[in-house]
Amino acid sequence: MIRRRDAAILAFLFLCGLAAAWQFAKWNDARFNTPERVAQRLVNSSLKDDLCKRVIADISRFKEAPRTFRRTSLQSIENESRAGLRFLLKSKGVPEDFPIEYKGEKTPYMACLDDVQTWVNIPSAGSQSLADELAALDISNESVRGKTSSASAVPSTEPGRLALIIGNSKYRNRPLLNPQNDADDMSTFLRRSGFTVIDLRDGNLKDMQAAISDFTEQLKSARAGFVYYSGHGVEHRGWNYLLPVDVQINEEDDIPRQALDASTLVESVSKAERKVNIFVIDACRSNFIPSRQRSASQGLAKMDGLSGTIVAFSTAPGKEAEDGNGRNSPYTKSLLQAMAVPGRKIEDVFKDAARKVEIETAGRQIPWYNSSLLVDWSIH
Amino acid sequence: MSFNINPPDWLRWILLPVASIGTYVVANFLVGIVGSLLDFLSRSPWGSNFSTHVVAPGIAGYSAIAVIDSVAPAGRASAALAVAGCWMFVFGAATFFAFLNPSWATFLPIIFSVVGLVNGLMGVNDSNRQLVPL
Repeated sequence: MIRRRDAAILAFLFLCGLAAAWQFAKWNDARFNTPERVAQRLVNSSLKDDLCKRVIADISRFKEAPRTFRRTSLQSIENESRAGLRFLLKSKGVPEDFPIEYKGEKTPYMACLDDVQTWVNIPSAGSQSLADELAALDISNESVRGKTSSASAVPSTEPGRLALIIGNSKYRNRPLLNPQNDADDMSTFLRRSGFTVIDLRDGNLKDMQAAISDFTEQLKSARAGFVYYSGHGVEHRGWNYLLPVDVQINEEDDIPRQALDASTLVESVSKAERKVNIFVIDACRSNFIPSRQRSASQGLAKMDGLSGTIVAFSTAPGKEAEDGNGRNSPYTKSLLQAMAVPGRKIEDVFKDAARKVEIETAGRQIPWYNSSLLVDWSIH
Repeated sequence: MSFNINPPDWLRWILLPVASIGTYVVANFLVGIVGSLLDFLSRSPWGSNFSTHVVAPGIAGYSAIAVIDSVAPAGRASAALAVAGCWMFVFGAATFFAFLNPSWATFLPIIFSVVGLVNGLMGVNDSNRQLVPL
């Protein structure tokens, strides 16, 4: 048996431990919970909650009116949040001159990353580009992909979705403004939608062939392939060619030697046994061939793929496409907006994009696509 | 083959708290692992929570004091009481922090560690064995 005196000593020491811990907690509280720190924590938590609420509210409004709703920019939403919180924080004892700046985790959107992912896909009325907004959010694709939510319409990361994105702007003759931006934005979008992306910017013929070779090799183990080309393209004797940036065409017979045969690309990619192959060619923005040497009509020729393939052009066969005055070409801008709607079938995406481009260009440009898909498929 | 290690007394006194803490940690870990394994193999209805939060801390608390019997060079009962007192101080502090975020998973190990500790202390007090060299 334990002696009564020993039991009393043990009980006393137990209480001493309790008291010491209590004193330590008080000291720690006095040290770390200064009024400034308390106010900053309040600001951080309020900003986090409010920003997420605003993002979720925007998503709801977008779902109610997907065709008309435009979200504001990231900067605007943060400014609105700060202004709205000023009174609330003052009522909670935060001094009026205390700066409402988030000084917490990496991003105040950590609690609603999935929603933010959906939100940035909503067409924006703000001046910030998608790439700038993503940079401002400081959210990596991996951190977004690491979290999933059944409640929100976040793109799924289906294994085996591979994309090849080519953007050629810096041509020796007739450089273009937007293909690089188009390719960047398309690449960002597809990455966020779960694609593994092979990127090529301003590639010469060798680079393009290497990228396509790499793509077709990796595609063997993929279930869906997406090829996007933005740059100059020409039709020559019924065949379509994608032009590398170093192309130097003096006569039309130079085209097959210096350019990439689009039909061969489509055939080689769509031969493999996959459910879905998508080719988007935003080319033919202005005729690249000097008119005195031009025998073919302007624009590209029709192209067909094997079964399970969609071939989409930024304009109808034989017509020219516009490069656009903004950051993106009209076709890519419309396509990105149409693709951002979650759960939409890919055919509906191209139809919607075509309608938007037709309206924007007052009928001068009517996108065209040819589908032989055997299954329903969506980007998200 | 036998080991007859007989370190000097001063070293034994120094080793006393180390042995107690080490025994508590190792016993807690090993019994927790064995308990979880047995629960898994026998599909026990108690689940691994019983062994992890009740049995392991109990045995660890007992062992932390029982080891004093072997390590203390003299005055084992007093040494065990002193070490038990230190442990009680620690568990008292742990109880305070457990109250900050109360849940059965934080309270049960503390309670059963104290129970094991007191049992170990009773064993040492009742012991009339001679000091055995390490």
